[in-house]
Amino acid sequence: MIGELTQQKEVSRRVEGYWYLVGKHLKKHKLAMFSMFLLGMIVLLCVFGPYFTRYTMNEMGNATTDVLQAPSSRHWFGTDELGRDVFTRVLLGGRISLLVGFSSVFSALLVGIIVGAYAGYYGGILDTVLMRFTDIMFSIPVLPLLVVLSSVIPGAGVWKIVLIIALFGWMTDARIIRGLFLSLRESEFTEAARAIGVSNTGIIWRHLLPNALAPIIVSATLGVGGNIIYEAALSYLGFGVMPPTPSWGNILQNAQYAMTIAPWLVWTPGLAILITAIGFNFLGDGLRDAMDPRLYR
Amino acid sequence: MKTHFAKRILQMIPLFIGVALVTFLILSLVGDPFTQMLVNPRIRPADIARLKHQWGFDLPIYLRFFKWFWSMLTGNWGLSIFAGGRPVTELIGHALGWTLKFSLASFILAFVVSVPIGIYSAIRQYTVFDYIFTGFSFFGMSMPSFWFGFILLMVFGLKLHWLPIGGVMTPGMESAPFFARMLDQAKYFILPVIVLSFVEMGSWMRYTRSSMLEVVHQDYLRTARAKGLPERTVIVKHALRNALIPIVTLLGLALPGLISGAMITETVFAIPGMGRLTLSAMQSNDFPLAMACLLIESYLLIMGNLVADLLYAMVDPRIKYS
Repeated sequence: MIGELTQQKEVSRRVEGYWYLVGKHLKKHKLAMFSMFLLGMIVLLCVFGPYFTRYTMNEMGNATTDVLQAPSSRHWFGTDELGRDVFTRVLLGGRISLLVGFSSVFSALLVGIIVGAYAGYYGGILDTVLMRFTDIMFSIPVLPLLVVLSSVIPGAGVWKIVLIIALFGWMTDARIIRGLFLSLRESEFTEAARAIGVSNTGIIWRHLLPNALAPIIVSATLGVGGNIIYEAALSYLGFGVMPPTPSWGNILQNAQYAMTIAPWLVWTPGLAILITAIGFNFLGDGLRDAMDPRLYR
Repeated sequence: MKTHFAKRILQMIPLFIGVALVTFLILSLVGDPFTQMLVNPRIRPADIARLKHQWGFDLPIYLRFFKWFWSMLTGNWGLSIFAGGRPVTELIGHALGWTLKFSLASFILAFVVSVPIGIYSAIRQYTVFDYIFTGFSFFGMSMPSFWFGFILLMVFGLKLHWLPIGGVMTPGMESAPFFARMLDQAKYFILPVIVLSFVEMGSWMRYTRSSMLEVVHQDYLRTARAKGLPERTVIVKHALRNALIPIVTLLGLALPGLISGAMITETVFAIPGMGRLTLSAMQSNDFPLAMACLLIESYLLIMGNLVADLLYAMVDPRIKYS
């Protein structure tokens, strides 16, 4: 009897918290781990790579023979119509594209969390108003309005693009979070928190939000890849990050004019977008599986 | 059920008005199209004031909204400011025709390819087939559509000369006999339809696969197998029928992707459809045309969602609405 009890104690001594389990399951997901590694490499390469390349962002070739060169040992990805080194520009463009991807997801998430949390927690009229507004925003075709907004909001900076993408990117997050909060606010720990006098704000941010973190992380991961593609699409239509600041989108947009004589210019920035987006999609998928306790065995 | 339908349809009305209002406000931020003409010394300010009055841009914004909304409701969609003053309805009629043709073809292609593959992947979960097509669907989801378009154009248009590199028909083919004309147009359709459907295929495959997986692991299928039904009957009769229900919502989910996807694809392949019309209307600040385009696209989205929602309720007898 006593032996049995101590044995039980031994077994249960190691506490496997939720995040520990998530990490454990994520490590088993080979594709997700590989994607994480790949994305890490891409981020490192884009952040530190430009310090080590031989060329600078806007450095042009000296002679006409430097223009539209095919990939070679001097210019790994060739040169563009101004004789600029495309490898350097793709790395620098990666900084911008990744920055746009991450920060637009972050800002959209902030809006989505606030709208979804308050709508779900308080319910009633606030919920109705916020959710009808979300419905309206959902029913408007995004791309045309992004185009309008980018011509209305002054400036040509990166932050403008971030703002624009975020303005139309928060609705899915808001719906997910509202749904979670609707059920979480009925839970016993919420009642307990209320009973000991925690304020509504405290309950929302301190007690409910951490419980809604898993789907938020998944949606954010998938969102980064999606927003990088969005930026590229905006750039393609001529409303993205403005040259000479390079982004993967506008390098690609620029390349289409020389498509017939310098097709290699089209390949590399597109591949960069594709690989990064695939990485984020795989990672998000792995995270979703790892964070779903129903799949634990 | 009837009350649910009625409720859903009635809910559409405020949504319609809300969408119109938000779109109107955002588009009004750009300002009226005539003020910028002041920089042109050859146009007299008096003419600009007259134009503004003529097009109603001198009214306060709320009055403009009501006037505009009322005329939209009564079917008077007005004239385009810049596209030769042609009626908005006429311009949209042409463009919408092309977009619907392309979207429909892409939708059918994406549906026919992705749903069977998704179902088969779920039945054969964790096999080579499943892995290959899971990889393929991630590939599709992560593909920037215009880049894919470029690549196809480069390979099949510029390099191999198999297919035309843009447009909708060979000049001079308008008066050709029916079949020759169809054959000619088909050549122009191939690449854009592939691009437009490829981007959708990835997510649809994933969607179908997960919806089928949900069913495959359920107890009643084990029961069906246990009582000795052949595997084929279990899958086709028992699993598939339930798995197909959520796929109906694909109809609604597909529309936003097809509409915004169309804007890019149409630009890449120079198709005179809604996407391009909207884009050019916004670029030239052609307010009546841009508003009408945006509104039609929004309403297509809303209607698509409604239809998907109602279909879902109709095909799934388990859903009870009060």
